[in-house]
Amino acid sequence: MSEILRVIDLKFKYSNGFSLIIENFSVEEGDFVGLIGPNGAGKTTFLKIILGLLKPLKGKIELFGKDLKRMKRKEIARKITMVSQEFLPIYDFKVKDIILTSRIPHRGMFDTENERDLEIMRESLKMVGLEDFEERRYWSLSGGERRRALIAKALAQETDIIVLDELTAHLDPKHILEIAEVLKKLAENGKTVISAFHNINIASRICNRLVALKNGRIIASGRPEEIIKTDVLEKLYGIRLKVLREIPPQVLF
Amino acid sequence: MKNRGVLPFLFIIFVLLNLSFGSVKISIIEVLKVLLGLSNDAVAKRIIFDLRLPRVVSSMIVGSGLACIGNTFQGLLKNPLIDPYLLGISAGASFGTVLSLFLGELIGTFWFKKLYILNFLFAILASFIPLMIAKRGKRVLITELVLAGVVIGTLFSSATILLIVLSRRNITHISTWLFGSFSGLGWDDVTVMVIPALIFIAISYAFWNELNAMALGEEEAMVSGVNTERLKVFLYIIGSLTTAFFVSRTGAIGFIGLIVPHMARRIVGANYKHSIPASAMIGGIILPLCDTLSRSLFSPTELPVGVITALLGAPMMIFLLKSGVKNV
Repeated sequence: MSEILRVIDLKFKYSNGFSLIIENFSVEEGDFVGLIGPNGAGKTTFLKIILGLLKPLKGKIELFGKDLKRMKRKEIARKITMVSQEFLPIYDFKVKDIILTSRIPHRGMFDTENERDLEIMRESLKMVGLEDFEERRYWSLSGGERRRALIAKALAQETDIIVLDELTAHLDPKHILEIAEVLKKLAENGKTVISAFHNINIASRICNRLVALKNGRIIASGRPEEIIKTDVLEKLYGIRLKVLREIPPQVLF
Repeated sequence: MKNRGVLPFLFIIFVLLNLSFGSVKISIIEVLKVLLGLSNDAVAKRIIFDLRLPRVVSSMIVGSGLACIGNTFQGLLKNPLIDPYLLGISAGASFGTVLSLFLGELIGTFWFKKLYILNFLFAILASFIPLMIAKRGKRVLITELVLAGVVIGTLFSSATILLIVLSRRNITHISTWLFGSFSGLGWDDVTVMVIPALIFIAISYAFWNELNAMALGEEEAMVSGVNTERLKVFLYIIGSLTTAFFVSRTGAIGFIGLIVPHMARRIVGANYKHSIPASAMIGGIILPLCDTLSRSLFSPTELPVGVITALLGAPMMIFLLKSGVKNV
């Protein structure tokens, strides 16, 4: 196990006054880190910062020991990728077209896609249970299928770290479970994943480490059984939740 | 998908048809003979080689170029309603032209000869001002760029009308510039336009996957390793420059850059790898066709070609919108 992502003394501010201060955060190879916390806690902002999509005021982010600020976009894109919540292509692309954009960091300017790219695209679709979807139009997919297609896109980018932003939000239970299955598979395959979660139960079941974020600060961090406790959750969400002491612990709501 | 092979074939047929029509009708067989060097008809040769061919070639180049620029800008600016013509570039060029005519009237014919320079300059100016307005630090904000482009375009259009009213003469000549025309273009004009057009088409094709990524969203493209700020500015600038080369010779031709990419996407799909070549080909078929109509319909009087593209383009766009094909 080695440390592949490290965040030190990070400070970020939006013009509306919201600030994010993370003194220390690190991820080891094979970790499945879940970010939990109320709406507006800064989960998405934090994820965007570690991808270099938002520039922090100060602080250092090290990706494989290298300063993120000194890395080119293509170089970053070979190490870390993200599946974001808001994804709205202006045209009705085929699933295949969308997934193949993930091969940009692995290609020179005048290269077209080769057999290997297509193979990787098909493998990733298989991994998320969407075989035979490559020619389908993205707009014709259901909410859950879309999210899975986007996970396939992230897989096809062949990065060391995958960042996920609340992939189970706005989905019905059936689709949530489908996504949860895919996430479990990622964990079993030893992928390093950092994911924001709305759904604490799925986070508790899949992650090996949870980080509780509130008002832009980390208020607790540790194994699921250390975090999913009535007192920590009350501090985090401001309400008393009943925790079922199973392994891993589950919350009723 | 099977339609792809049809396009080059259509292309050749249309070139021959376009060479055949005009105020002097030359049969297609005669056109073929002249092109293959088998004809002895000196008049037909002159009409075809010196008058019609440069015209057909320029309209092909401009049609292909505008369609590719429109397609690229639509993805880059994440807005399927973009037409390079709407972004102020063409309005700037028209203003430059009218200004040089106006100054020519005031000062003398010297300024009139600088026609290309002034309208080229104003085309550049009209495309750079929005870029400056939309810049926030190192970033160029897309919505602001589009809005600023439209505002600057409207501003220049109004200024153009103001100048026309002030000069109070020669309105028909000016209308050519406001709606575009290929009348009187020669081989030297072809040379000026073909190089930027080919460069732009080649570059936009080279970036097909990056353009796909941009059409998915700017953040999405960054995650995929695209340096979005650099790509946006680079393609916007060379697209604007290419448009400026076009409008400095032909005036402002609207609708091609808007409509053709939509047609191309309907035929070959949204993927830029296919929609860029398809746009180039369809643009290269449609604009010469419009030009042939513009010089044949009321021959010997010529209509500005932009009138035809708008007359055909507007109903087509309405059809595309109504037929439920959203942004395909």
